Amino acid sequence: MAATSQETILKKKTPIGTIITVIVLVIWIVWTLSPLFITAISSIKTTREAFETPEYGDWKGAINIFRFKPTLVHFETLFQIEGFGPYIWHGLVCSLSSAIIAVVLGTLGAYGLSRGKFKQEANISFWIISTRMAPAVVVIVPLYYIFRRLGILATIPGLIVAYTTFNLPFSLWLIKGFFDDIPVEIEEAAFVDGDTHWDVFRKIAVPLAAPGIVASFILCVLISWNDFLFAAVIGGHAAKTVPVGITELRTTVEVLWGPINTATIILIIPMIALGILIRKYLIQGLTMGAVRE
Amino acid sequence: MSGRELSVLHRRRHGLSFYGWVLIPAVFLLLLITVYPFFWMIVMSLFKVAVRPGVKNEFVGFANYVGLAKDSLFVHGWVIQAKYVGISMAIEFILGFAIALFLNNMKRGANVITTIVLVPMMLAPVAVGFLYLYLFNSSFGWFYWFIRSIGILKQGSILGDMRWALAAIIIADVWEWTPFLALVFLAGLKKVPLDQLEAAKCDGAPPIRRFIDVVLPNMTSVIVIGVLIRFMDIMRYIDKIFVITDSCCCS
Repeated sequence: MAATSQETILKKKTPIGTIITVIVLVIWIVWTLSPLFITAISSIKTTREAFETPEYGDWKGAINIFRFKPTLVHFETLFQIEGFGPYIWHGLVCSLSSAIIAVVLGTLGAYGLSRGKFKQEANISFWIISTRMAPAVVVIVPLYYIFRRLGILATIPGLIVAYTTFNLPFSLWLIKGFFDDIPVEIEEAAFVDGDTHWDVFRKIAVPLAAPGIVASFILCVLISWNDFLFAAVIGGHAAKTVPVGITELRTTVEVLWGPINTATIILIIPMIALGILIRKYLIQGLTMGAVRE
Repeated sequence: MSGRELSVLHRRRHGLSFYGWVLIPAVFLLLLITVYPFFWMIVMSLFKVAVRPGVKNEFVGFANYVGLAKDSLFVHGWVIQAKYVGISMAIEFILGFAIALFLNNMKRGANVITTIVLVPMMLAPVAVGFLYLYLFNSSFGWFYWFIRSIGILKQGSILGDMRWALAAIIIADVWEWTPFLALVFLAGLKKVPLDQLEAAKCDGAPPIRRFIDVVLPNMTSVIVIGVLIRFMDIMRYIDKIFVITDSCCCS
């Protein structure tokens, strides 16, 4: 309803306006997708074919980008010579475990913060969000020394803890927003019926906030899977993830562009799937609940 | 939250209500993994850290800070960082706003488009760095080929030249993050109250006036939030720069 009326008020549709809109948006989509398209197509070309660009100014020659025989040679290099299999596994284990910790503790904490009354409530909330906003270096350098002393540097548990430093405040804050949206009367009715706090939390609050909790979980996975800084500093060799592995394909001798393009595709495909899954909550999540669509 | 609440909700057990108890684990873990390291670092910044084993850390007061301010590379790094942040955010803001206005014009299909353009944000910043390193390569990069073909650049390479390299980083950042600002602004545009627009239209205000006097004031908070979040993220992450410039010249 609202959308239709807004349209009728704001725009007397002129064909020129529509054409300009379409042209601008098409250019934008091409600009957005072309880098990824070139990477994808290069990842299934042989190195020689991928490096062939036409003469400068030879626009017709650009069509040659499609002239190639698909090959999986770079995938083989990536997994058999460069050993990317374990990196994918490390990335999955670390991001999933950290996301689970963050979402379980975050859901509990968010419920407490949303419903409870504390003396320093505003200060607690601000402190939690500030830990998320601080530059990564503020956390990373001390974590490195502390982990080294504890002996969990360059281990999978160490990296899980490191990811949790940004996942926990993020998920807590985001899920709190979803709990705030649930009318408290529903829960009060359950209390009147004699349910305990835990029952109300488990049977009413969590199911109602479930979409938000799932979205937070996926965003946590997405951020940790793509992280480079923490994985490079804390993860070391035993917990190397794909973003770290990709930087090692650039050696002092040569840059292995084929495997780099392939690794890029491997990095992005699962994330696109997850992103589409929570499309509705993505902007809300990335602005930490401040902007809703 | 409403003022009327059941007293049962805040009955305390061992000094804390149920809500306090469920909040404790998260707060405790956060204290342990973020606050403790932070204070640890403040203390350590006053010491000369011994890298070799067996050597004791030496207390040097603020000498480390003074040394940092004197380091010309550090200061130079900040100047470049300021340029990069300023220019990319300006471009992202203007493009994002323009695109949001166009998307708001769409009757159908806006949903599909917004989903498509969100894809760059799903890609790890490190991979974005490599992607643009590849595209701007002066012997086989397609973007380099394009720039040469339309005649902006006559010779030389992009990533070897300081100014062009900065431009390349900015282009990569604009590619990755303009959709974010566009969608944030679009969410703001959808929330502009219709009655105000109607009233302005009845008073005969032309589109530009309606935009400046009705749309913009209603979007202030969304604009501030979008720009702030973008600013914090751009300062937090250096992955892309690390890859594109081979960690040589920028910050």
